[in-house]
Amino acid sequence: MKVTHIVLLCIAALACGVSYVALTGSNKYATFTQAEKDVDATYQVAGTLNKKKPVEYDPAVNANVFSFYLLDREGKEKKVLLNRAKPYDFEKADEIIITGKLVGNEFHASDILLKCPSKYNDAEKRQVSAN
Amino acid sequence: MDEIKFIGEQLGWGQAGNFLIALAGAAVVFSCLSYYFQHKERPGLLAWKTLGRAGFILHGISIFGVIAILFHLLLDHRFEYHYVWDHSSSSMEKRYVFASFWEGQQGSFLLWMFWQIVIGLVLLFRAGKWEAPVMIVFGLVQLWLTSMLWGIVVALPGMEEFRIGSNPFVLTREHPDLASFPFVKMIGYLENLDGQGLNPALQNYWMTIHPPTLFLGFALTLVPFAYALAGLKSGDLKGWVKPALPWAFTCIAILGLGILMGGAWAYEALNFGGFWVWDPVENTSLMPWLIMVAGAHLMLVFRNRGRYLQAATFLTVFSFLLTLYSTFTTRSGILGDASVHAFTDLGMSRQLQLFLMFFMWLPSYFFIREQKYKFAYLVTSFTLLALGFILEFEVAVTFIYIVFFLGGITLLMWLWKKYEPAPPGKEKEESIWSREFWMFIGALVLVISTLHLMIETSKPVFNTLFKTNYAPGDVDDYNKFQVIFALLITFFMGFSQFLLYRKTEAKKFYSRAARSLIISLLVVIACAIAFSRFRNPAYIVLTFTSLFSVLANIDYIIMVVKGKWKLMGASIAHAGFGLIILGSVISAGHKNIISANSKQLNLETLNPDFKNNENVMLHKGDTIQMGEYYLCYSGDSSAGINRYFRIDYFKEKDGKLEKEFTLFPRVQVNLQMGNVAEPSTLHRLHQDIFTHVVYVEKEKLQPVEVIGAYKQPQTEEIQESETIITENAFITLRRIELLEKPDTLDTENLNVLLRANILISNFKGDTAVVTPEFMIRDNRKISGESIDEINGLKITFDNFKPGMNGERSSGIFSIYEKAQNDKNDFIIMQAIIFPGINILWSGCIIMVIGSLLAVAGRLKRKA
Repeated sequence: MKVTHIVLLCIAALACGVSYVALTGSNKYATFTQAEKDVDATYQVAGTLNKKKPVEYDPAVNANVFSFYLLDREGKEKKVLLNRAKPYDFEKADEIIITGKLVGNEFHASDILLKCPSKYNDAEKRQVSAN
Repeated sequence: MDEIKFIGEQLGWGQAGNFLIALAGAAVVFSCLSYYFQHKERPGLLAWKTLGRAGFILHGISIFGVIAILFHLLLDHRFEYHYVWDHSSSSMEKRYVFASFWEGQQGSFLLWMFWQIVIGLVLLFRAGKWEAPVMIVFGLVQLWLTSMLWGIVVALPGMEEFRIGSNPFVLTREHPDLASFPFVKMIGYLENLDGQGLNPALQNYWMTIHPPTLFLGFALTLVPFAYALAGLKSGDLKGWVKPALPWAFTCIAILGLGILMGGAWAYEALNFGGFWVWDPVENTSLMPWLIMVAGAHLMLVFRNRGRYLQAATFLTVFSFLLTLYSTFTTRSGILGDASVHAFTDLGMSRQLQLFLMFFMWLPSYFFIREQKYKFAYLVTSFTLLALGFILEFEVAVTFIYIVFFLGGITLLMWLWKKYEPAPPGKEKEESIWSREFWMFIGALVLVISTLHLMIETSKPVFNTLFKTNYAPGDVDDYNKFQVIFALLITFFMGFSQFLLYRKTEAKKFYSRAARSLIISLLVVIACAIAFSRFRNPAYIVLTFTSLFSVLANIDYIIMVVKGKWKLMGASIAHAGFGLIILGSVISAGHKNIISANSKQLNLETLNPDFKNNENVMLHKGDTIQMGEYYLCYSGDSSAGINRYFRIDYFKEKDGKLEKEFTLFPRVQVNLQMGNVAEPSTLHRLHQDIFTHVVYVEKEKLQPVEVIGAYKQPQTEEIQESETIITENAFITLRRIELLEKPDTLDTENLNVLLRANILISNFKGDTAVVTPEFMIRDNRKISGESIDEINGLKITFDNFKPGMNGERSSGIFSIYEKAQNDKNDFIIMQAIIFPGINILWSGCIIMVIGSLLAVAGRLKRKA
């Protein structure tokens, strides 16, 4: 059973290696304060849109970048530059989750996920208008 | 207080449905008990078996009844039922009724149960001596699933409420989310009530065919699991493999098809921008498949060489457990932030967790033969459960549960050695020149691949358990590992064909494998030289191994199997899998985003990681070069809830642009659930051209009352030489010409033909002349239209008033304006070329056909 044992050991080592790398190399959820501590790491920050500050998307300048101000879950605000087109219904999102790095005082995001409001919120409004 | 009678409600359906749910639960308990008694008194009384069957059939009929009622309610728009209100609306097209049936959790559980009942009914008559223990396992799973439909709230004093299931027949006015709204308290609330409708992203034929296939696949993972548990329970650790094997490969075919359909859906209709994005929902359905593939191959090795039985048993069990885990993660809301799929938590995560744990702990319980150990195991399980309830399932408790599960597995392995000691002296050195050795290694690679997916998708679970803050990985995180696994698997699949079970002569092996190896090496080198985009080393190696696996399997079919269909299945399936990997690496690895953005602000100066090449802005009428094409956004139109954008593709020929084809990407306008964009793709044999509108100004998506592409017309009476002003233009009726004079003598058949000469000038000073005609034929008035392309106006000439007593004549005209605002007349779009994606699709079909052929061949050989 020598060969099998060696192979099993290799496989076990590979499994440990995969687990270790997958976890230590993982992005982390964070707040802007945490993201400031390690500038090179990629973080995911969840928060809400600051509706009082401008949401800028000027496709004539570049269609691949879009900026807005995000308040993280602790209420800290940063300007976010997203390397994407502006998503549909952006302003409607309850919560925004962005993935990226802090560059200077701006958060440069490569990805975005919008959490949209529950459909129940509109139920009564529509019922009233139907009547 | 008196019950209020609400107008128009039909409550009988719900009552009948709930009765059937209760009956289904009772019948399946009865069936399990009967089978248990039959199994205990083996060979068993025939009467117990008959009762067991009767119970299961009654359970099946009840669930079919529940399904029929729910369908009826959906088709009849009975919005007093919350499920109907939540998942359909009266304006929804009838063909989406299936989609709305399984959009919600209750419906998808019913779909899952439906397939397990169908499979169970087949097994009643095919399982033979395995019937009793297999049907006990089926019954237990069905019981858990039935409990998901109960909708009972258990409130013990001093403890938090515990919800058992969520009922598909809850009334809208009683649903906790809506009960507080005043409108549901009005007697006539139903009159004006319309449903929420189906999520626009799901109004799609894929939503009709993908879930049933996937759930059939999930249901099929239960069969080998039930057989394996039957083996553990009855002590016949070897006998179960033979009858379970065809089921395992059927499961591989169907579940594989279901998963790939999900990929096809994502590619065709959703804006994933690709075929596979490693979303947690995709991963959790892939995991049971990978483990089933590993398990089924080890079952084959066991059948041929009598080895690896223990590993085969474990993997078979794990495949079903992963199906449950997949249900748990996607249905409990624990994925939350990690997935684009919005699965809602119906407050049943605890029940789902118990469901999963029950089947995690069950195999060890079944296996223990000594009564006292069995009892001890049972007592420990219940103590732990009680502890869980008292501590309200604190994190530590879940941790203890997992440790207990791992302890159970260790116990199982230890007992296995005790019950079935290996025959002494027969252990031999495993030959690396044998097929079984490499099948075993291949299975292990699949296990590690699954382990990696498991870690990635379980990050939200870790975060809950250990208070960590791991975020889900992106596509690159997945690819960097999974490419290595795919590489190993395809390589093994290629050369292990040429190995025999037991031992192969090295010389023979090399001479057989050499042909495919050399050809694929040459092709890959040629491609690497010819195509400048073909440069990523990992992709080059993966292209090589997958091409090798395809060629080697084709070679094997031709040279070794020589067209005997009963033996061809496996090689066809392997070639198909090789094509899937080859197609993915070519199409995803070498996709070419042609909508690059060269003229605009260079984003790389802002951040070197930023890319300029995804989206491009196209004004209406502009033509921009993208790759070898010139693209023009030439217009848009509306049909129903869809806004279509017309994108013309031109190619340069002899210095002139010639139109090649037109694509119509669209945006579904839905004010309530958000607008959904759907790409449009031109399929060519060697490549797909994918076009997707990622952004348009909000004004373009406002719902407008449109006739064709025009707004509701405004009707005007205009005299000759008179000018009227519309929103965007001045319209002057210069004159009305009489082209065909009326024959005044023949008043019965009055024939007139008139032409209006109208000058349109806009505020910029552009002018155009339109000449709509009006005629009377046999006393019937016929209005003609004329279109001004510059100003987007259409004018029809509807009637004519001749000028009496020196007055000027006048005409009645309808003026149609285009329903858009030209300030915002641009779109932001993506155009991507996916080369060779048809290799992937044909691979899918070939793999499914191959697997089913292998099953058929095996059944035929057995007969």
